[in-house]
Amino acid sequence: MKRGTFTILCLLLMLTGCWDSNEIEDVGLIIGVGLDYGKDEEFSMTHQYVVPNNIQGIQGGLSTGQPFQNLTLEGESFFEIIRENSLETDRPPNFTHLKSLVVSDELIEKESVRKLISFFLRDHEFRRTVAVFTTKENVATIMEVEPTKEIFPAVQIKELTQNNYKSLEILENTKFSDISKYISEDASFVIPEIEINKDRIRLSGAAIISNKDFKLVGWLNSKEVQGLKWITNTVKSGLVSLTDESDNNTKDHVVLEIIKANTKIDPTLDKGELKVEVTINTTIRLGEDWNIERDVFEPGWNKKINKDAEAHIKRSVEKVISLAQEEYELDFLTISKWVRIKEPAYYEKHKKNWNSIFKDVPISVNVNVDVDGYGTQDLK
Amino acid sequence: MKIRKRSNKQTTVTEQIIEDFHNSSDVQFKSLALPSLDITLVFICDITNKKTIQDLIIAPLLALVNQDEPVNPSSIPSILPVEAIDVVNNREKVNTYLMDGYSIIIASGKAEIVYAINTSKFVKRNTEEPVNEPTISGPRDGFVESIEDNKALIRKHMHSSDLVFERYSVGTEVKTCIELVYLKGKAREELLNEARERIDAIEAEYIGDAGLLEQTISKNKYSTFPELTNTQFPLKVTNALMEGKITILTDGSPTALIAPTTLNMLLQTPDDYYFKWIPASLTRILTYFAAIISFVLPAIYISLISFHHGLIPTDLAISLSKTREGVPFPSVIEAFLMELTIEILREAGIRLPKPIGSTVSIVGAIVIGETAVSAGIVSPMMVMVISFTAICSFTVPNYQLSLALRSIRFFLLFFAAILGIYGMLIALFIISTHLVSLRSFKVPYMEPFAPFRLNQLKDSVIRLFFKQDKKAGKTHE
Repeated sequence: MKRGTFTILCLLLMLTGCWDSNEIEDVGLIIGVGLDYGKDEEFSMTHQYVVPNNIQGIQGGLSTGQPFQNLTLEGESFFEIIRENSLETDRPPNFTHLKSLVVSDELIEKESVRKLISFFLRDHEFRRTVAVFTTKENVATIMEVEPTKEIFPAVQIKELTQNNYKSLEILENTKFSDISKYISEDASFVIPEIEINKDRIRLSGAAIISNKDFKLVGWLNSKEVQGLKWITNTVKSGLVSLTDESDNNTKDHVVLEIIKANTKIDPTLDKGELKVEVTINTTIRLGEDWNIERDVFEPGWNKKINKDAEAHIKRSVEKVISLAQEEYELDFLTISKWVRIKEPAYYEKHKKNWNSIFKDVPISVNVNVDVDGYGTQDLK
Repeated sequence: MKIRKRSNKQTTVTEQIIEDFHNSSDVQFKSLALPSLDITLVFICDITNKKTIQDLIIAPLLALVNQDEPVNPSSIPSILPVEAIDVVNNREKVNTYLMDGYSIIIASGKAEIVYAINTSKFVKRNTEEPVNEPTISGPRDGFVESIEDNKALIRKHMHSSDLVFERYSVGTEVKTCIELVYLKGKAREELLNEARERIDAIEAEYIGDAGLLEQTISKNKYSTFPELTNTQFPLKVTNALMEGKITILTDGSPTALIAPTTLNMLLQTPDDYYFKWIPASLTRILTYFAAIISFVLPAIYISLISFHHGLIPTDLAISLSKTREGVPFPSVIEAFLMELTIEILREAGIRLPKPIGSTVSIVGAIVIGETAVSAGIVSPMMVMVISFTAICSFTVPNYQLSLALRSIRFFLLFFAAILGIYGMLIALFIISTHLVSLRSFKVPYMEPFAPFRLNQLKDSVIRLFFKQDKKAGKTHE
């Protein structure tokens, strides 16, 4: 009896056949998606398919044609457009290897990100590591830009931010997971912006998404991104460029490289009034010095650089704070997170009207810079 | 000697022998007429040493021919210059002695007295290094086909008075001599009883080799895993005896069977103990790793490539999809084709004589591997996966286990082809359930992993230094 049951179970298993099996070469791997308004219908969606046969160098053989195919289709909803794909490709689209999602600025200006991303968060094929970008250019055009080092534009776009530890102007990727987190936290956030510069894709600034309706409200340029990076404690390295006025009234460049950086946001309640203290501690190293008068072997040589750097960083941080508090009245600086952690009762009470409170919160910025060296050699 | 019509009337021993051996040409008789005594010498000419017979039996007896005094049959043992003479009074014994190469002396005076003298000379091989168990620095003597020599080898490697050989004769039609070997005081009594019971229960007609014996006394008939380890290394046997295990030697087979067997034991090689513990442990880890790869890799590859594309890194996924472009079969068929090819090549390599065997591997590697890819029948990645799997399975030290893992590989591949990683996990679940419930001579097969034995783990995936081994041994006693 027992054996009979077992046999039947085994046979049942065979009835399924190769259920759900789909060979990898029969799958249309999509590595990039672009969203925009359509010309004829409501939305347009650009799919970047991998065309494996056109990739050079894997199996010798020369191949002609692009290793990717961009398919731009229009429709009423994204899900419908994806299904429409099947009319034009023989391979079922597969989004498990999706790298980046590019959204046009018009789209996020008029439509809530929350609505746009709904489908991508619901479907299981989309990984939560997909990086989201926005652009003022035409989405279909920017996804056609020939990549310089990678094989696919979508990969190139995603990998651009890999250098975020090298420059203060590069934000970390805003991933699907981040967006879903921000939306459920009800927080404002930024999405990195890309543009076409001399036929190459280039990171520029960032788009600010408001937490009121999750639509685009404004832009940050590269300089302002620096301040944002300082305040959100995402600085890993980068350069601080100063203009140094030396004694004989000539202007010299001093470029400092950031070795270590740490930002602490400390909200305190003082008689029911919220005060936020931002403390930035950073260690920098003299990277390039045009002032040949400076003698690094003299004690106290770095005092002036310290002071200048502190002022420089403070200025850029205060710039972005004033943008957030005065111009946009939106907390995209993640201050709310720290208030929630450190003063949970207060935040709970004012969660609903956080934006209106935020714009009047006094934020003080302290920057402590420590110049720890001048590199391997000083010309003296 | 089961059903043999015995004539009821009184026959002479000579007649009996003629009847029992059916006039076989190699049974030879020689009659000597001594004063008042007829002597018939019987021996099987091919397995006896003629010079011994001549010098030790015939010559001394002939010297008596010219003597006047009558020769007393009972005085024969004192006349012949040999170490041991047995008196035989049983018809069956006579036959056994003859087949063992003894010479039978039938002295027929008033009554018949039968003596047996060992004059055996069997064809045998010198001890050589076992072919399928190569070692780097260990002793290189291996068992041979003669059970006496094998016993001698064990004695040589183990100077202990506790070493006990128990002789059994098995087979209902044709008797084969087997020896149960154990170390008194080390081997548990239950284990010995279990072994004795199983040997007594043998009902086979003929046990020609240790492999046959293994299958007859094994209780896990439906399992692909071996219940007894076979080895041709005396040192492996003595190590096992030291651990309280038992060994069974079979006459005519160069293979010794060790019981009980655990999975852990099958993955050990004697070399593990000859080197310092850190490299030895690393080798052990490597062996375990390779053994696991040797049965899961094709299944994992199939599942990833035809079910879970999202689990492959993007760059690899793209290049895989490029290399598989134009392959006419689904990956499952492709995998089975390649597996089949490898198995055929392996079998061909074993069956063919050695000089041609290497040709087969070259033809296999170049023709099948290279040209099948360029002909577009299989993808290069599949060739890589399958050949890597094959190489991994060669690192499994025990051939029986390697065979078992080969069968499991197909089982897993089948499940993976149906349900992907989910199916593979089902198959792994079935296999591990089976392994955990498996017993070899009442010892859990997965020991020391399940049931978990912490103090035995130091000689499993890793091999710790010996000093600690000794300490653990003391606390045991």
